Amino acid sequence: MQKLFGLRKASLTWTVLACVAFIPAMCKAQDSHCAWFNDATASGFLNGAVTLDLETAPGDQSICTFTNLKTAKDYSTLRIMVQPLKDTTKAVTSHESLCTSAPNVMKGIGNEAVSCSADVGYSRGEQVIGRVRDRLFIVTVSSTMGQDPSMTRQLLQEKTRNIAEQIAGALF
Amino acid sequence: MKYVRNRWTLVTIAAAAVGSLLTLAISAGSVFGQDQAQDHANEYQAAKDRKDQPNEYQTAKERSDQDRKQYADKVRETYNFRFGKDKLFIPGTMLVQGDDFVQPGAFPNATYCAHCHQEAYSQWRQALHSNAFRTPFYRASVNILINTKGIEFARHCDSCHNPIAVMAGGLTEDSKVDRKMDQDGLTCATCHSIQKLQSIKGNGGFVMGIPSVMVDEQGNRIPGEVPYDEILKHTDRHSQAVMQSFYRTPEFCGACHKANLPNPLNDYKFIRAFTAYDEWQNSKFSKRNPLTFYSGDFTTCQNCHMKRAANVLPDYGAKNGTFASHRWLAGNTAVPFYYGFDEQLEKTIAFLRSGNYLNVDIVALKKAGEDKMIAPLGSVPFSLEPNNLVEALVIVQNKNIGHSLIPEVRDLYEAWMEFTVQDSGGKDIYHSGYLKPNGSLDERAHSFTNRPVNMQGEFVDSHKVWTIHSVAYDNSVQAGRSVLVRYQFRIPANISGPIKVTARVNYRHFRQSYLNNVFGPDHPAYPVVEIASRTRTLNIGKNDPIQADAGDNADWMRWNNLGIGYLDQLQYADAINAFNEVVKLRPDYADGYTNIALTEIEWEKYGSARAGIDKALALSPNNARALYYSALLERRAGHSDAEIADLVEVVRQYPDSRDARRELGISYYQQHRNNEAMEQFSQLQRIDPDDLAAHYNLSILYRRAGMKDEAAEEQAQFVTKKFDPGAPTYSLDFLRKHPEISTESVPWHMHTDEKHDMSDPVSASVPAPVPVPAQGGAQ
Repeated sequence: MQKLFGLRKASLTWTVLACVAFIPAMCKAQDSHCAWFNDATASGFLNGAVTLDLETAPGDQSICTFTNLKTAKDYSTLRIMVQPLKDTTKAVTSHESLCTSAPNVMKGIGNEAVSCSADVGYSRGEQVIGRVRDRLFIVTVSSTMGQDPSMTRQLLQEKTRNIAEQIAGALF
Repeated sequence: MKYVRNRWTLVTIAAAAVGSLLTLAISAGSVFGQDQAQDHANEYQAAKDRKDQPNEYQTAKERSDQDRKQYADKVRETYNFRFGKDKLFIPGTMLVQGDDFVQPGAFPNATYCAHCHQEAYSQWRQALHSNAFRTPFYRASVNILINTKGIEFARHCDSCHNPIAVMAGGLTEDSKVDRKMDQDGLTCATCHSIQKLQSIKGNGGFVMGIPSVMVDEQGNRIPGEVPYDEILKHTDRHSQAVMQSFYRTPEFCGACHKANLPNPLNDYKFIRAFTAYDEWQNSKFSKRNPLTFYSGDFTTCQNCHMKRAANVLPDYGAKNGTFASHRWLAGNTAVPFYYGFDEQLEKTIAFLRSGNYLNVDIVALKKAGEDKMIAPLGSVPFSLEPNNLVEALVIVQNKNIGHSLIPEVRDLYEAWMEFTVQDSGGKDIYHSGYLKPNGSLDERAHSFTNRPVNMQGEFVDSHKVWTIHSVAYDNSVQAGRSVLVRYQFRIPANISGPIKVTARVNYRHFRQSYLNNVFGPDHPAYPVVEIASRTRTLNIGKNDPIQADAGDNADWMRWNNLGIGYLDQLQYADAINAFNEVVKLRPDYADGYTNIALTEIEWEKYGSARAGIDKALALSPNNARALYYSALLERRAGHSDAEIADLVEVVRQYPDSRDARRELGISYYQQHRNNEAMEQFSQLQRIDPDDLAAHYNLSILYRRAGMKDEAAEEQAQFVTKKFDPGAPTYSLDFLRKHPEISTESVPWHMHTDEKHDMSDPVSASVPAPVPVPAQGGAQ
């Protein structure tokens, strides 16, 4: 009996181990879809493997955050927020307060869009705030790796524009 | 216990760590390399530098094959094989050499090509091909398909709009494919990697090769990028890799500019979607159709849409300072307008107005109560009085377009006739085809479009083509044909000065309802382009003949076009009268007599038709067009040998005439000359793989020959492609619900002088579209 229990205990331990081991992977498999952008494309823009966090926020906001974590201090992120709008007038301009530089009006992104910087502390960021019909979207690409040649301000702007175009395309 | 707890804590931490690593591994594994083409360039150079490698081709090929296999194996793990394990890209038609997925990194990026081809890159970036996928006008429609039926169905559309994504296996749920290619749509390496064409089926009827920008000394294609200096040393080998002679043929364009809706897409049956290629094949420009009303020089799609022009930017592909345009100018003003590509927009508008594509002719007037027609207007005297109720006959001739007006997706584009009658003060007496304050078109306008409907008898809006079951009507103007549009207006009783009558053909990309669906109602007004117009000033009282405008057709052609218009409206007596006027003015014109005869054949007056054909053949012996109709008359008279002899001669002159091949096949069939009939129907399928007569007759002929499998295949093709006799009920349902436009489905209809209802319930927040006036055109 004890032998049997010992066996069962050992099996149980490994079963639990296996289950726990796969929990993050299983959770990811079940809930890892960002509705507008896939991991592979995010990895391409962030130059490496990414993790994805999905969250919802007040105002029916849906947020996908892809992170390419090099070290605790060195990482780059892509954050995509989509929110339904009750009133489309001034939807974009009313969010320009999120900008840390003067917003520039963009052509060919959604119904309307602006681009601007989104710097936070030592993290350098660029964002596009736009609208497709009655949905607002904000795409932000930021990086703490100031010396990374693939994350210069200009390249961040380019990445943000290209990603915003894809998000708008998915929302149309 | 403490030990156990610690042990469990350790196990949990370890497990979580493993899990996180697994997660990262899954994520990392999901990223399919994008820079493989660049890697190939490095590898190519390294292989050249090393002495131990057999040659650079083998190295690059092996590497490419390995990459592809690894990639394809990974895609297969999660790919949705809804349409069969061996049908990777169905419902699209495209095939890829090696019959497997291709890693997107195998396709060099457009910026790689731009290094040496700056002009091509600059033009392409603004052109429709580079924007084939990313535009809201495409995404809005294909997103509906993805969200309602599934992303795998979008392979049908993306085979032409984003083929790299399709070949990469990206059109599946939870795709692991980096969609960077989306921003480039059809890139350089897409078209320039096509190695073969399938039969002219459309829907992406090509065979893609693994991209290569250079061949080795033996002519083997070297996959991926190679260093620029190597290309410049061997430009002949570069050309060999990226150019094929068939790129200059209409069939190349036909691979995508022809589309059908197959059963796997619509769960219904084969429905022809559009076929600019077939329209070209039937036009005078193909020199393959003996039955056109007018003749012309052989002209390909590329001759019109890729005209050579002086290059502005340096480009190694330029010849004598000119470069074949990679703007593919056509009718799409919406995409350059949306992206702010002003140069493309300006050139597109100029293109639409160039080439004498359309001729608008206010050809005749008829006063109520008088039988005599005033025609050709401007060439005969007449008088008008106040309070006259006048009918104006306007001809729109598709004179020099190699396809229909409107071509392709007519449910989205909008071309219509705007007809105005104004007094001397510029005040409207009559106005048809105006735009309402909300930007939508007057429903009663004569529109050169069609109305596809679904099973509910509703217009298929937003290009949901997979729901199309019928077409309520199709008022497009086929290449070389003329349509007759009728308007009726009353001259005011108190009129004092002359009146000005204007007919113009306007074009808008896209129809307002679609723009509203894409953007919501608050979008800017999209350009309306006047393609062609004609204005005539009519005096109240006496009008003497006046000199023709430079752009006017000769009178015999005006009569001829009027006859064609009458013929298509089934007004046979009027058509014959008009064609009789043609031969009065041009007694040497054989086609004039043939036109009389073919009208009589349609009218089933076979006896008198013979005289017209004989006259035509006397003027032009061996005239293929006359011989074709002669054969129909011989068949009717039971003269089989003469019938076959006539058709054999037509086929000799026009081996790619689908009509002649079909009729000759039928003639042989009726004479029980089965092998010869089979040969003709097989040739017909080479010209048009969807011809119903070919499917039907071949199914019988094959069965008689004991070829059971072939017979079954032809029978199946006939069954899915044949007209659904139940389909008109959907059209009738639609027309019943829309009396305001139901008259458009009647061949003979009048646009009458009625009071306009300018009040519109729709929000007036949309600014009125900006009309872009044409150059000239007014008298």
